[in-house]
Amino acid sequence: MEQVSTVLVVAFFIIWFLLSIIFQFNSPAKGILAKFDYLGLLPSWSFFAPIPGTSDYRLVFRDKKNNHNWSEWNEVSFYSEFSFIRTIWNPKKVELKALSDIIQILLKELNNNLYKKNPRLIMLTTPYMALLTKVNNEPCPDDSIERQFAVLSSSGFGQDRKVVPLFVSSSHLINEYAK
Amino acid sequence: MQSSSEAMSVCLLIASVGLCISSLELLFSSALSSNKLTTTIFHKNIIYRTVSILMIIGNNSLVLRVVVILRLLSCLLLAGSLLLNWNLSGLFVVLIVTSNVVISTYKQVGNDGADQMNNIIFISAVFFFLFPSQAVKISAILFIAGQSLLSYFTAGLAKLLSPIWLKTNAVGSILGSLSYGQPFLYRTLQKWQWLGRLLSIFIVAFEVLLPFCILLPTNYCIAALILAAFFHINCGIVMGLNDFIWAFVATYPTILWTNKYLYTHVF
Repeated sequence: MEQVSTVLVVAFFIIWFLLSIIFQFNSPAKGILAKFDYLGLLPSWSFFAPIPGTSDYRLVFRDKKNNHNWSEWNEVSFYSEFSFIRTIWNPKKVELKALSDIIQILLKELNNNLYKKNPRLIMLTTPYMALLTKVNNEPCPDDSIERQFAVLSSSGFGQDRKVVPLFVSSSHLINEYAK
Repeated sequence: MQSSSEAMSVCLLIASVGLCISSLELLFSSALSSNKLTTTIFHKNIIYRTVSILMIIGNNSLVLRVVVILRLLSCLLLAGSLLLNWNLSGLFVVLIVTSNVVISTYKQVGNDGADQMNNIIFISAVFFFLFPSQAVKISAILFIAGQSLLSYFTAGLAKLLSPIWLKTNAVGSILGSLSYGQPFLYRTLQKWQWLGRLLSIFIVAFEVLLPFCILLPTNYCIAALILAAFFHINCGIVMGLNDFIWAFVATYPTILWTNKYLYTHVF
């Protein structure tokens, strides 16, 4: 019995390792494996490659007032100043990574033919809803009636900073309960 | 590092420290609250549905916090068990893996390479402790070492084949982001583009060649791993990738054990 369990466990490790190797390369096999990898056991090890992440995603929003003028764009705060404390303690990185992951999924969805033909359908996707929920949780002045969000990409610091708009949402009525 | 148990113990001690810090970061950042992006659900798979049924006693946010605290306590108790020879390490490793499954069911975004490596370490450790067979223990150690070396090689190869890494100031550009950057270093590497390109080439060479340290005589293998640890510490200082320090350095005892195993039984 012990011999059988030993063989099964060793075989499991070998198969897991071989599948991990296959998973590193973009191929139809990777897509199939990803579909069944419910537990996230297959790692993806291509850090900052092939295209290094050189910019940040920024989530901004603005409100339409009851006089039908738009407010300035406000940013949802995710980032903080550089600090050496990040070496030991960096709680902000989880939400930052989540923002990056969700926006990447949204941008990928935008390339889907379905949403190219029917752009408004993007509003029904999970990443869009997640970002809309996030901006709706930001403080809301009494005279705001609609809210619109946008996703930007920024790189560099100070005067070197470059900002590129990536996506602008539709405007959405603000729920009375949000005020 | 003579025995597989010693290698696994040191590996788990280091990984546990990292997982403790990650757990505290999750709790203090409230990343698991329902209004956070981190808890956006993309896949309602069978595990999600099963766990959701079990979450009838409270809201998701509260239950997840309890699970993270359970994971934190399990890491601390695991460290105690390893240091004081309590013979309960298997139990705590199972608790950690179970906690990770629940947390990852609800935290489907915001995960990084350190989370992946921690999963590999602790799941392998479950088999290590629950099966008395020496073949299983050796397989678990070799698997962790193999995944670690695969991670460096894949990262290096992807950069080697990239049209950007060897031809441009990739490191300088990465340091221009708020997420992973540092303003002084960014401006320095923009001013001294040659230094940025040299660093980019060095990182590619380091990642591609590091896996071959397993074939070097042990002293050289140790030197290579010290260099690798230095690399991760620098990434932690400059880029804020603090969890990578613990998750990847935790695999080095298994790499060293594998190196010695190869020199004893193969070479």
